[in-house]
Amino acid sequence: MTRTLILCALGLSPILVPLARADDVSHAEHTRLSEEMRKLAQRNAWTAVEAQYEKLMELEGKGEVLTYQENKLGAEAARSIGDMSGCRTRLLKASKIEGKPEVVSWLAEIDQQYGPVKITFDPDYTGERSLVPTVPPFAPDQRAAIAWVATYVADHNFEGILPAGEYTVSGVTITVAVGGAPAVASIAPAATDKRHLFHFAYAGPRIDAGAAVLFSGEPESGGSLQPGAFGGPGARVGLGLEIGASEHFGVIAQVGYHDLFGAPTVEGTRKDGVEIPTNQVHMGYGWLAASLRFDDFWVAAGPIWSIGAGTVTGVAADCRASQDCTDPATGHAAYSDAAGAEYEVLNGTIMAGGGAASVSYAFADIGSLRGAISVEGGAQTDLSRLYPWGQVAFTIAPSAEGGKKK
Amino acid sequence: MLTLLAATLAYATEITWVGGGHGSNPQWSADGNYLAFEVNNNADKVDLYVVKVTAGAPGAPTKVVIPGSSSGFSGGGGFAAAPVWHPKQQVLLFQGSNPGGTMRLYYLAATNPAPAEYLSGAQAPGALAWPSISPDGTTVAYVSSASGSGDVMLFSQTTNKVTSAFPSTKEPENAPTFGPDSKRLVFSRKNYGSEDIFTIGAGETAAVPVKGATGNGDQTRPRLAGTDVVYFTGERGVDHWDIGIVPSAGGDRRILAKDVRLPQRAAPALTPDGKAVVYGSSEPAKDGSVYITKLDGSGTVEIKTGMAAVGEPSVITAGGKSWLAFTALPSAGSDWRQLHVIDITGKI
Repeated sequence: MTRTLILCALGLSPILVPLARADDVSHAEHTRLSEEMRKLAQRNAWTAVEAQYEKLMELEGKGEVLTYQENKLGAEAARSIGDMSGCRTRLLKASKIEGKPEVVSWLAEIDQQYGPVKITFDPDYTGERSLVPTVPPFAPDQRAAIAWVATYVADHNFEGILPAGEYTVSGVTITVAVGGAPAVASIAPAATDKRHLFHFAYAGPRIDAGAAVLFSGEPESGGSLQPGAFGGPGARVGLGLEIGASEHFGVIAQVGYHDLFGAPTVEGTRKDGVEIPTNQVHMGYGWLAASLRFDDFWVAAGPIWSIGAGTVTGVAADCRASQDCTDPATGHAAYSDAAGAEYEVLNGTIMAGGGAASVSYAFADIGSLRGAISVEGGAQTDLSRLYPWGQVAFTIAPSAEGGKKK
Repeated sequence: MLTLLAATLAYATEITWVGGGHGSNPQWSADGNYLAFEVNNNADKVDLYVVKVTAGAPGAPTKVVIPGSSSGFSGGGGFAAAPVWHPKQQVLLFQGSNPGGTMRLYYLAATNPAPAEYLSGAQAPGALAWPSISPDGTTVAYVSSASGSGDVMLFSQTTNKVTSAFPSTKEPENAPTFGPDSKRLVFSRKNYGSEDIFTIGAGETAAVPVKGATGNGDQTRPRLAGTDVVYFTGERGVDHWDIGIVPSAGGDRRILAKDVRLPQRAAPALTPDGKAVVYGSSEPAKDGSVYITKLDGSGTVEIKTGMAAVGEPSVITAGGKSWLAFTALPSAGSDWRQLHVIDITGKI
């Protein structure tokens, strides 16, 4: 038993050692960033502190645990640039690590001085997007928060918190109250603004590329000549368009290519000396899907239809046993000789419809697009057999950042 | 010649803090509910504390820790001082720096021990000091080193912008404060080796010296009481500080008090009605009392404390009561100057 464990450990060592090194690297980077953040804070370089904290948050996603002081410093950085929702979130994290009065009081003060607000601009509104407090506050964090939101609404809708008080949003007066219902400013287009029929929250290319596996079950022969079950790995690449009707909902239309290069169904050579080829499938597909987005998590599902060709060795067992399964070339019961049927190479076309779904996690910005890792899968049928498949893909899709900031 | 109107012995409540150090520069919030003060441990740092005072009874002071100087990181040597309360809110400004850092202005809400930098480096570059808030609460004056010599700058809450109070000069300016109308500033300027009092009003393009508050020795830390300027003057030499008063438009200078104990940083303390100046004496025979002298010279009230080396007074009237905060040595041979609060209702 002990020997087995040792052997297992030795066998896993190529995996475990890199993992351990990755942890060490993250921890060392954590220490470096923390020290850098401290020095920058001492120089009041808050924008730079914010950048360091964001890097720490990336490490947190890899398993590093941020300290009370790091979260508090992050809150101070967020406050200095006016991101009070971010400040509040970081204070909450700090208070959960250590419920010191300084952060508890700070949280209470934010909750006593800030109120919820929702600012939306009609997509057809073409006027100036502005946010102006009736009475500018004295407190620097409140001034910074207003300035931050004023900049943000220049090209976004906003839902978050602002210091309590009266504001004018592009000519509309609202009053933000502590603890009350959100103050709502819905800015309508002017009578002279041109109206559009459709508005998209986001639109852009949707690309999925990665490794895939495809399987084929045993067919229900129904009198036709069919190969037996087969399967194997391949590649799958899709290119299309994703359009968001809202920040959370959109549609995907995609065409692509899906192939399979499986091992031969049987090894060796036929009686006539011909080498048995690998099983192959080459298909083009079209996918239409509904897309749901929850920040960085995306889900899509919808119908898919494929057409292609395949080369597979071995006649299906049902076909061989069936008196109805005939060789179209001879018109006779084809394979009373089981060994011959097993080595028969069949070429044919595939047309299969079904459904496909994907789950993605977006983790990178690529210009105005987002990069994500996706797991996709589907099942299609040509009414003779089922073709389940799966894929791990790198996905590029349009960013739907509108409204992400608070 | 001043007339001593009354001499009463009052009983003080002591405000205590952990770690020792000299208390100084107590400043009352406008509503009298909070007291901010500095503690200097004679080492390498000055700390700022805020304490809630309820009916003369102080709570436990809270040490103010400026951002980037949290205890888990800082190695000492920080600085937080010169508190100035907002005239209408329970918030204050002060100047501070992390060890080795640049002096900046910070904002603190009395209910929240987490101060924030008041003006960003982009808005107000350089080292910043001597904050002052106008009585209407809309403008902050301070001194900036951005030009290389201290210049008086103004931050407008209304416009969210910083402007120069007047064109930069090669002589450094210090200690700007607003008059009761929030439109006139007085400050001191290094002028041919000594420090003189200058003033400028809203809409004026150049500061002018206050005649009568210039000349021999240093005249410093002015503040406006009505149309008069009250200030410390060292015209009799560096070991003798007096309190002078002169019309802001210039005129005859009068000495209100001689040989006063010069505060660490504060301007002359005034009573809330602005009609009397409050001070301690540097004369050993008189340094156990706080003195309140009418600006018109009509009389002086002595508040005996029973302590020694009394100084750094600050007076507030709120809720029908008047409170005096001051620092003093509890007795001869004491290590640290402690902070005390006395009820002086009916004595001013």
